[in-house]
Amino acid sequence: MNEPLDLWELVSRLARGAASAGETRRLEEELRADPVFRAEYIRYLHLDAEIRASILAPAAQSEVNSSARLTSESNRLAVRQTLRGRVITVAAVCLLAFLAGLAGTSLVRALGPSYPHAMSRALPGLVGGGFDGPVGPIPRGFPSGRGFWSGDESEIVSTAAPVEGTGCLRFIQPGVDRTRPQGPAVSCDVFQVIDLNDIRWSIPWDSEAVLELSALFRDTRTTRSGRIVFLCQIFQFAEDPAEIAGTWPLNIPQAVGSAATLVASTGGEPDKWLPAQAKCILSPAARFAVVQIGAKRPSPSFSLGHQYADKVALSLRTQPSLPSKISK
Amino acid sequence: MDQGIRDNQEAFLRLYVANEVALRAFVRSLVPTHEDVGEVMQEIATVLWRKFNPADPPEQFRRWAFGVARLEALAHLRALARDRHVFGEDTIHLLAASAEDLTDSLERERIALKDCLSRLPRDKRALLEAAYAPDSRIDHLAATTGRTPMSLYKALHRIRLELLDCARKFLAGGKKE
Repeated sequence: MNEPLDLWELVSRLARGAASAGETRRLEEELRADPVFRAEYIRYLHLDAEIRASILAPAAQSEVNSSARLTSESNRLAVRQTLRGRVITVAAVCLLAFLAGLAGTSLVRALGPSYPHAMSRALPGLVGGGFDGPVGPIPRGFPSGRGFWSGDESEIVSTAAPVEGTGCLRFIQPGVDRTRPQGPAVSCDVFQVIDLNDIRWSIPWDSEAVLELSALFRDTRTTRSGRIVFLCQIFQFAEDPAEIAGTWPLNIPQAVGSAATLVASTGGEPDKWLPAQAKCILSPAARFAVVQIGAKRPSPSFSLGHQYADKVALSLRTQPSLPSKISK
Repeated sequence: MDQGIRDNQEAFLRLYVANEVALRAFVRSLVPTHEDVGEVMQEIATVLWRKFNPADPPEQFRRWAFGVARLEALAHLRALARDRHVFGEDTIHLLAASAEDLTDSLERERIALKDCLSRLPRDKRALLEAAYAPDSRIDHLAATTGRTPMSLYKALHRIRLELLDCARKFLAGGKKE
């Protein structure tokens, strides 16, 4: 492990889900070029998993982190995996099963507790996050401008008991990337482009700023079936938004910052709103942000239509500057 | 329940349990975060159970499971690729080949690391616990401890190096640090 520290810092960032597209690309180049580094990389991830298991194990003795559900025509059997992912109860081996779905399980990273001196305020740049405007379909395709929702087939409805206000967004049909028309349509995504230029002037010079995107998702299927994954994601870009619109999603690697949270649901809790929040440090280079919310279906034959989003909000949290800046 | 089905379940679970640690380590080598590992492992377990044939030789289970794991990891990465940059398929195949080659040594190293982690000095253990705790952020941790994030990263990096070194010595039968 003689590589420069910054390379291992990149690995560490990747393992935390914090690596940018450029950082991921750089790592990939190193991994492809150097078999020794490749082996060390694998060892590092292995070590990282061991440390995580060692740290989390005491708190996880009775906690089930994930469940692997196995089905056959006549019976079901489940394998429980604890946080260590290693302890599979012997009783479960023979005694059949319990089903423990993933409903409402937050899968991705939520950042930590609030910094004591942080201040947070909503950004007016995100428009219509409560979906309280006129009901009806939202425009199709990637947004051509700022301040409105546009994306795959979806609509604003008022009939699904919105968490607040009068409406919410209903995901209807996944779209195919126009850059990959032969690719599978797996996710119904809705976007909004937000100008970040103005907010820079409001950030104290000695502060760091974090963008926080939050959303609520709901899966109104009354019975459990395929797993839906809701997505709450934010990208920061330095380029002209008009250029981004023309080439989305090929330009994702050009993002100067991003964060995402996934929330999975297998149905069975039709009244429950599932929270999701994604945070990323505001990049000094960012001129605008792309907010993306979506619902990913488990297979191309699965029909969406019972999945909703509401209360999408973007806020800016500023806090006194840390001893050194974290940047891309 | 039919006795044949029960026998199949037992046979499957015996093999799955025996290989689960290696399988998880293999998947960890291919997907970016531990959250991804959890998702992919669920898919792998489902596919393995659905396609399990008790008539197949048990000694072939691991190779088959690794093949399924590679495909499931690729499928997961393809889905992720729609929204963010992930490693390309060629890179994943390179990593998978390396990880398969390392399977046995990783398993030995895992046992050694467990021993090394249990004997880590208290202050280093405390730092790891703070850094790896759920919801932990290095920048927050740095702010509360009066250090810079970079100094924390370096300290964590040094601990990781120590642990790897300790594991190597453990496996070599030498002095344990």
